[in-house]
Amino acid sequence: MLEAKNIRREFTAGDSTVVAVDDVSIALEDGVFAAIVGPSGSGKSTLLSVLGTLDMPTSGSILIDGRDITTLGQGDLTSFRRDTVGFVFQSYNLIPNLSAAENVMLPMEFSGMALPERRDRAGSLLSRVGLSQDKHRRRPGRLSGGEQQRVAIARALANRPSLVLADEPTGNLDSETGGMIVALLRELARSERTTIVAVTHDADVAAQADETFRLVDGRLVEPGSFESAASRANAAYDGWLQHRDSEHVVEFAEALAALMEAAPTDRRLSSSKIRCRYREIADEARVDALLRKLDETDLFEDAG
Amino acid sequence: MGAVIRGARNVLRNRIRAFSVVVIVGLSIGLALVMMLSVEAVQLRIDSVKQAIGSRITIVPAGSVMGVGGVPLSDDQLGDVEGIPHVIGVVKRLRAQLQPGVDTNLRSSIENYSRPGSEMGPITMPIFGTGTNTLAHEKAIDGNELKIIAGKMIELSGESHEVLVGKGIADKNNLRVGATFTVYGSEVTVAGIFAGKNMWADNIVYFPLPALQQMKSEAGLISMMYVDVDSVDNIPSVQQALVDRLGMSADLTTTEDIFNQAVGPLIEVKRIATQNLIVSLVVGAVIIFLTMLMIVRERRREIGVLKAIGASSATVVTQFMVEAFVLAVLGSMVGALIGVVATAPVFNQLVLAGKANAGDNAAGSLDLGFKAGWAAYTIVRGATNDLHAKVGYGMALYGVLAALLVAVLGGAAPAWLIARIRPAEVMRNE
Repeated sequence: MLEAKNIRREFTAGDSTVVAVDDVSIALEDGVFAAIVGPSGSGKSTLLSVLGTLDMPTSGSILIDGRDITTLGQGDLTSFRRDTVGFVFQSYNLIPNLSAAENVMLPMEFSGMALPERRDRAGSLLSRVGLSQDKHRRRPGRLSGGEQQRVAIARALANRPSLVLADEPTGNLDSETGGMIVALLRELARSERTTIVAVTHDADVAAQADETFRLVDGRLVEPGSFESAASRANAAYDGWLQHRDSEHVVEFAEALAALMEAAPTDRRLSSSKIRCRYREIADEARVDALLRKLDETDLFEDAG
Repeated sequence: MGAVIRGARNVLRNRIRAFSVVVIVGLSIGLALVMMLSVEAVQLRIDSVKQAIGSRITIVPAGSVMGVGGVPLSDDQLGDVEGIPHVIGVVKRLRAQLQPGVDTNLRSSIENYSRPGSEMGPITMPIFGTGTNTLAHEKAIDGNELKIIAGKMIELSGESHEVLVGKGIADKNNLRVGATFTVYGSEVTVAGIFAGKNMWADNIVYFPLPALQQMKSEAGLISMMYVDVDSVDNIPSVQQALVDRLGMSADLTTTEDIFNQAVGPLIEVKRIATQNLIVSLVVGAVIIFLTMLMIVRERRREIGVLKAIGASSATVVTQFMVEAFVLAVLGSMVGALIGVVATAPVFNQLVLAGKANAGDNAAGSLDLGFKAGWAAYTIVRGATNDLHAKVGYGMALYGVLAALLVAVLGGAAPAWLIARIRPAEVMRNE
């Protein structure tokens, strides 16, 4: 079980201090597939680094299976990461001059596993994530993005971790490949009882998660709250900018409807930016209904 | 083991860079090897010159020439010379010029002698009487082998009137073993006859020192002393002790002066070679340092990945140090080839530069006095002759050591940087 309590992470540069993560508390049971969503710069990756002990929180505690990892020394942290945590990165971060199998064998080598056992397990993991046998000896440069991400997932699972942290695991993949990767992560969470925490911009990934945490300006926002709805609308807009298809127009419309619903009645949305975005999307998609809805609503101040 | 293999494999990740670094490091290590072998060859020659010259102090009464003249030195003045620290032997001598018909009834073996080119008329040389406490170092002192051709070696410690005579004197005076003749009115007996290296040496009579002192009425006096010191390096301290005792009454000549002049050019060659050696190794280390710095900066994220997936800092540092070491070893292999080709010509140039000063130094050594000066002249001129740096199996060992040194020096700072890189680097720019 993963339990983060009141995590705060500050970065100081000169006289200024930036709070990247502020008073975040998360609790996840084993085998849960959780997504952390939020706009760019909201502190998602920083939170993931802290949960994976790549970085230390300024304050707060992180308990994994009852053990407070913020109190560990460097040597113990290295052992902890090696034995308990697996990482999947957006850019895969495979070692370019090692083959797919050798990349997967790395964490096992660090844990002292014998070479024959490492070879067997690497082969079995690569097959399990769907990489065909003939590609096991290929270097990352000769694999597609999806294949590289499969290798990265196999590497993350090498030492049978109880926690896998994935930073934008589908960020560099097309939607079909991304869907397969998410399905693979979900299946692993279920079959291995591995807790998976994925940071994502992708609403599809978030939609498949057992639990979703939304970060805005370093703070967790409650599902259904105004801040959460605004964050979702922003994410939907980003999704539309990226894909520019009707599916994302609908998603944005839904996000906007949720935002309007969540907005307090006594509070008019002064965000001319949202209004402009709404018009832009409606124009692009020629969705008259959206235009009418925009005109009818009194939640927006006129952007002028 | 995995880190070592990965480090070695990583060398080839950027082949053009690896090739360039290996060639440049090879040049610096090659030059370092040349200089190392030069230093070694020069040091060997310095040691051999040191051995050839020996470590001796010559003491003569002030103003004497070749042991004749001046006020003889007394035992009271000299004291216990053997007791001075680092003194390992003392040769005492009393010289006497025996005028035939005056001091002795012998005839000189050198009569009617005219020196070629001299305007002086034919002269009869006096017989040289030498009283000494030992003849063991005669070859080193006079170059005289003292080959006994009849009779026996004499006992030198007592006042016995048994003497050794040169073959020239024996032939001139029809002396045989057991024959007698007179010196300063005392009768002496021929115990042995020796063949000297030349006619001058054959015109010598060797006496036990106390016997000649007694015959010459100069008991306790000597006209020359040789003090052997355990090392050239200790000559100054012994010399100072003797000067303290003798003051201005004696002239001291040391082989240290000869040694310094003989090896002056060699020490210059050694100095230049040592400086070049250090500079070459530093250049090699700087190249490795800059290369590793570049590599570490390029692979900052990769280092973060390795740490994120469980590698300890020591593992990552090992991997990169192996990479630096392999580069340095490949460089040292190239350097060894360069060393084999370049050692002889580079070393010869160094020695030629040293020889240019050798003549001046040799000429200057004549100030030491004729005998010491001539010895110095021949040694100085010979010190740089037939001097060669040898390329042998040692070069391989030196090459590996140089590579190790260069890798450690060049890789230390990047290793420190690697240890400081946080695993969170992997999230940078994600």
